[in-house]
Amino acid sequence: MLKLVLAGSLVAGLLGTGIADAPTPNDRVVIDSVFLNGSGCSPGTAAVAVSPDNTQFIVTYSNFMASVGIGASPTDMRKTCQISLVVHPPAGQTYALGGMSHRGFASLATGASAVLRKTLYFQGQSTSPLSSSTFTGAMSDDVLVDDIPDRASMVFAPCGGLPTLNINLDLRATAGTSDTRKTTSFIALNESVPLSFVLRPCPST
Amino acid sequence: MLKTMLLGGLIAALLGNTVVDDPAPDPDPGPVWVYLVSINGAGCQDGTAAVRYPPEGGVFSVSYSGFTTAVGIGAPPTGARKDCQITLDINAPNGFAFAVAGVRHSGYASMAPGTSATLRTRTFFQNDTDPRTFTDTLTSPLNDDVNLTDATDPATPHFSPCGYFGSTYINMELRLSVGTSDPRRTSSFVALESTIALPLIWKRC
Repeated sequence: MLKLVLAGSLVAGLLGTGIADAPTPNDRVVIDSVFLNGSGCSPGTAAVAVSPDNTQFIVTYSNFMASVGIGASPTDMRKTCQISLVVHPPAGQTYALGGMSHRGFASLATGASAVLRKTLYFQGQSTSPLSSSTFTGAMSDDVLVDDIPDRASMVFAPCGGLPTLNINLDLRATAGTSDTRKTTSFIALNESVPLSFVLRPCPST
Repeated sequence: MLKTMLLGGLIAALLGNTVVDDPAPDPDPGPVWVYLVSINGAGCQDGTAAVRYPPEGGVFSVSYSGFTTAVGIGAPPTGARKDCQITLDINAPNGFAFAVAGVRHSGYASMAPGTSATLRTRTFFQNDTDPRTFTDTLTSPLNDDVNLTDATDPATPHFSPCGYFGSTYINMELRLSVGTSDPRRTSSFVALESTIALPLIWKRC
């Protein structure tokens, strides 16, 4: 994964828009680095692409899939991925992730269900309220989760540091009343994209 | 990843020539840098997709060795859908905007009577509220090469912002449906073998 991030930096460096070269804008955040870790985004199966202006990124997964039933091993029912971000807010301000969009596909037999659970926290701070999206069978269709917290439950970075923001994704498939000897149910995430970053002034010192 | 990045660099180095040679009436933006930032997905996992500059013109081409969906005898329960997400950084010169002109796919389909397949291609920019979607449908029975061209309506190209220096995303999803075929007696597959991105459409701002 480090390799992917380095490749991203190299691109930025070649084009002269690395963070070191560019003045920090005062109206938006600058993404410094993105790391991935977890059973759903192991090295070689997930990629991070940071935009050349360092304001947006996309995570793509090739094997973030939770499954139950024929062909699934007992540990396949749950897969996780932690996205760790270091983000520079404009001077004198702090930020919160204003939402994230997750895209994927679910194929669920009658009686089966799947859930995507999301939490986030800044290193050393308390964890955000759990937000979860549930899908129930029978279905076989695209899945789009736009996870937008209300303002009151947004978690802001503490002022005066550059803490890592950890976003935890937990994907589960549950057999429920479906017959796992005859059917397979799965949910797969393909991509995750932040929708916005919300800024707030820090108290002046 | 580094390897594909270097290939991306090669694309960039050569793209200027196509633009100059292109007899289309589009304004000529001069040499344009195109970087392949990432290619990932169940249909283009690490080591299964190769990106190169197409001598026949276009922005880039990808050849796949694992972008195959299958249903029926021998097919895994999760084999009916594969996707691939490509992230490119395209640097529009000042005073120019570009649109993705479309893509051309080739592959092979062996589809039992009753099955059907769709290939959906989505293209979009950062924070894009108006992504373009192309959908191709294959009907059975079929046992032949498949060539599909998804071209933007020249009357309504979806242009980037002027002087855009951001990410351009191309997402492909291939699905194969059992339909009325008998998956215990037949086996069907659709293999996507290559995608070529057609030369960009340019306009002066």
